[in-house]
Amino acid sequence: MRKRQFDGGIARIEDVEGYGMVSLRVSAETALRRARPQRGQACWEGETTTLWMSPDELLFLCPRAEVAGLLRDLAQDLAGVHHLAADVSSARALFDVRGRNALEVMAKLMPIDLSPQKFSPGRVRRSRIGQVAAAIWMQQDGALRVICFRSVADYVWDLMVDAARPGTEVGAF
Amino acid sequence: MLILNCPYCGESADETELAPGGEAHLRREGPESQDEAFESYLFHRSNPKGVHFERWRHAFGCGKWFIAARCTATLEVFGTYAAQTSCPPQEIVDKISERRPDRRGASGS
Ligand SMILES: [Zn+2]
Repeated sequence: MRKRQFDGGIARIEDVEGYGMVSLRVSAETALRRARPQRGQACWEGETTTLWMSPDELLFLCPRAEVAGLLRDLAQDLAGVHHLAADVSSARALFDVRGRNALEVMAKLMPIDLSPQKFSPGRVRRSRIGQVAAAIWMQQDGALRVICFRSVADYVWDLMVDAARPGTEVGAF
Repeated sequence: MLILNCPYCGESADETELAPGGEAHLRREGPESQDEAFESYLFHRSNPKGVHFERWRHAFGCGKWFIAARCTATLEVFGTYAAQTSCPPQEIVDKISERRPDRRGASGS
């Protein structure tokens, strides 16, 4: 798919391609031989982002070429432990939303508290955008990342672009 | 609008993030039970005006089931707790007695 870019509104939005995603289901008590994010947080290790999805679920985002290696490492680290690690790289679409009004644009679409005091780098929140499930987190540079299922990526894209139209600042934050 | 705190992910979840699961703390009637008991387990619900214990799923969030104690008339929320609980925890019962001193009985009905 052609990489889309939206500029000229109150936030810049673009597709982020080339990421691999690995879903890991394992009990909250299991120690991993890698950084495990706190509840509601993301953490970074090299080029890998790890998202806290639920007490027993993590989502790793890494360069697509590293997926096989990550799955191999997880299988080795968790040998004998009840778990499920799956390559879900094609399941979700990833977007980058940045600019001074990025939080406000997303707050128009999600029923969550995105005020800058509450939503800072490292924070992850699973919720919905319009009618569909989505997750949002803040990168260390303050940009927002959004994921949703690929089947509804065009719907989410259209909503975000509409919410970022020029002159639509609300000034809530 | 109803906002419930999900005990699993700790997030304040708007009602539109949640899927309702009906009355909580029902006791399942198995194959050896009487027909009347089984019918009641399947169909009879208390549906109170007032304090109620309900199952909710954080459908758009962490995906987990939990239980909420709330007042169906005022939408006051007394608390939420894990679904792996067969009766309301003491702290929830205490909170309800404090807020609704005239109410009799500690659990479901
Ligand atoms: Zn939750």
